[in-house]
Amino acid sequence: MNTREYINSGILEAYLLGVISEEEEREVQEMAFAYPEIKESLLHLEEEIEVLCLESAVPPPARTWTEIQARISPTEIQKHQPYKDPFSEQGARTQEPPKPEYLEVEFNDTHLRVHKLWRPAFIAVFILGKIFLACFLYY
Amino acid sequence: MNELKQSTDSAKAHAALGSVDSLALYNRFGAIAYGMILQIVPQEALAQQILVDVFSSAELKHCYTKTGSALACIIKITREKAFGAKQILEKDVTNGSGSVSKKEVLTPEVLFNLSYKQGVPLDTIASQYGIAKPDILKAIREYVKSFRKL
Repeated sequence: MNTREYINSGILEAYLLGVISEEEEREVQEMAFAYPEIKESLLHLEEEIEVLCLESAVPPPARTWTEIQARISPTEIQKHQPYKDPFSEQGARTQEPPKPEYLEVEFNDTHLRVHKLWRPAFIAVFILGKIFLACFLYY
Repeated sequence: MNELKQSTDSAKAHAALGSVDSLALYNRFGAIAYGMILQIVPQEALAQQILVDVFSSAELKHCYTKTGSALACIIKITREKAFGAKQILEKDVTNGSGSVSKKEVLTPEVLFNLSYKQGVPLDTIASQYGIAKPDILKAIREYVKSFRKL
């Protein structure tokens, strides 16, 4: 079966609608990874399925938002990751955590997080201060 | 000074970001998921409970990280949870029983409803109605395509 036949078989629609088995789901994901044409069709179909699903959409009551927010554990707090394309090679690789731009200082009411360049700046100011003080006293 | 301000702002934002992913998905797809749940479990209180379960579940994050397709993950997890709740509600439900008589003409819409709305596995439909599985997939595709034309 070539890619065109695979796309036309209806398996992609069934995949997005969640009506196929997990084994078939894995197969679709592998095919999308291997063939850009299939990946593109999936992305296009996703928009169409969303339109179809919107036909039966019902706005949920406002309190469900609060309940979800309350249920999400604070331990899950993490920096928002940019969208990762699962079907591209780069997306498949494990992402290394980014190096922190700031020195981590305990953050509460009496502590701040400061940029790491402030440390040598403070040290330089301190040393210069001592030099000027010594010069002032000497002369 | 700006950097100090930037760092404190960043920390505040960082602390508030814990629920961004799930809540962002909820903001975009919450109505779709709630509508789907109500079609399967037409009880508002239970449907809301399922909705909260879906968007606060670790499965959703896992699926989204793995596939990158938010809509596919939400549809899959929502259907799983809704049909799970429906089965508990209806104790006498037999696995994969459809509510379509064998005499009814199996149009693409009927097959779509059986598999998607009623959650009957494709293999069950195939054996129950004597249709080849590829034909069911094609019927589903045809239904989605016909919807696109409307």
